[in-house]
Amino acid sequence: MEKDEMIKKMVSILADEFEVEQEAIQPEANIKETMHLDSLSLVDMVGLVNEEFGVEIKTPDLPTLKTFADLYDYVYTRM
Amino acid sequence: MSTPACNTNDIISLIPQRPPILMVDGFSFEDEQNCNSTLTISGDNMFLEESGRLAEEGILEHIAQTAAAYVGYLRKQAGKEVNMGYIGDIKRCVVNHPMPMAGDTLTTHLTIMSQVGNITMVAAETAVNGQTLMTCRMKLAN
Amino acid sequence: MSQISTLFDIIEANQEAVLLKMNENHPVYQGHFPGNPITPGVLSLRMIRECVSREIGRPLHYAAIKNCRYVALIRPGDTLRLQRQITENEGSVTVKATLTDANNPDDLRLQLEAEMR
Repeated sequence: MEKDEMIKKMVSILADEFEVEQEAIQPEANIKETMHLDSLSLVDMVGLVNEEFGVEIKTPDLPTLKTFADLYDYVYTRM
Repeated sequence: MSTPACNTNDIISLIPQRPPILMVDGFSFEDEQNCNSTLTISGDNMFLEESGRLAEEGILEHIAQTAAAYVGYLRKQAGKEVNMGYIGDIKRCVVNHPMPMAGDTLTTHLTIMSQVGNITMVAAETAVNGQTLMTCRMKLAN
Repeated sequence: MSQISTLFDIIEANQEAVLLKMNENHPVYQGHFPGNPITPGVLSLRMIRECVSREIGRPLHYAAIKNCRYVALIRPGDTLRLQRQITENEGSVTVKATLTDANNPDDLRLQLEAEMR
């Protein structure tokens, strides 16, 4: 899967799961703020990424994933 | 890594729940991502309704205790104490009636979807005689 | 009568809310958990199902749970306020509900979106 294709899929899945507009999911936007994530819904995001992309986000890595661009890079390099 | 199925005596070393709300009587750990459990419904199960059928909440409790046994198993392996866990949320739960009755055996397969800190997210499927009774996503906080 | 029915009493029910009190002597607390009684999360779902069944006038069962979010624990003796929005459509009942402390509506315990039949 090409990176832009992965990003498109990610945006669509996240917007759907967390009920936000796709337009709100911009690369430099903050993940937690944009999708109103708390400790439980953060686990949803990790589970979803694992299910859809086969990439397991490790707990210690989570704090480094601040923006959507961070998430795309993380997932793309591990797919 | 795989282990033989646990019986009731082993189960109580993995989870903190006790009668009258012990809702798992067999557990097997397949690997880090998968485990299985069983429960044969006894005539005095507290979730049995006047109709003679198990209430759907009983199946949810059985799933929650299966997730607890998974966490308890890993904690035991790591030399830690089994601790109390609470359901964080339940999502995408689909219930297929009719519910089972006393004497029926529930079998559950859990897939572990993610673990972040003390929260474990699982996808569960519970069946009786090969018929799916319930599928759901659940989070357990320990 | 089901053993679970004695877990709680309905103190008052009106258009706006149902007030409930948890029975601290219920046997379930002996096993959940020994020495640390906490209401099993699944029994909150059961309380809501019983209250909605009474209101609709027939026994209902969950067909689907879209989201049930547990925010805080419920302990024996707690008094709770159930607020519910019930929509009936061709035998299917859509329920949106919250459980809060009876005296403090900011003390949220549970949020539910489900379908019963």
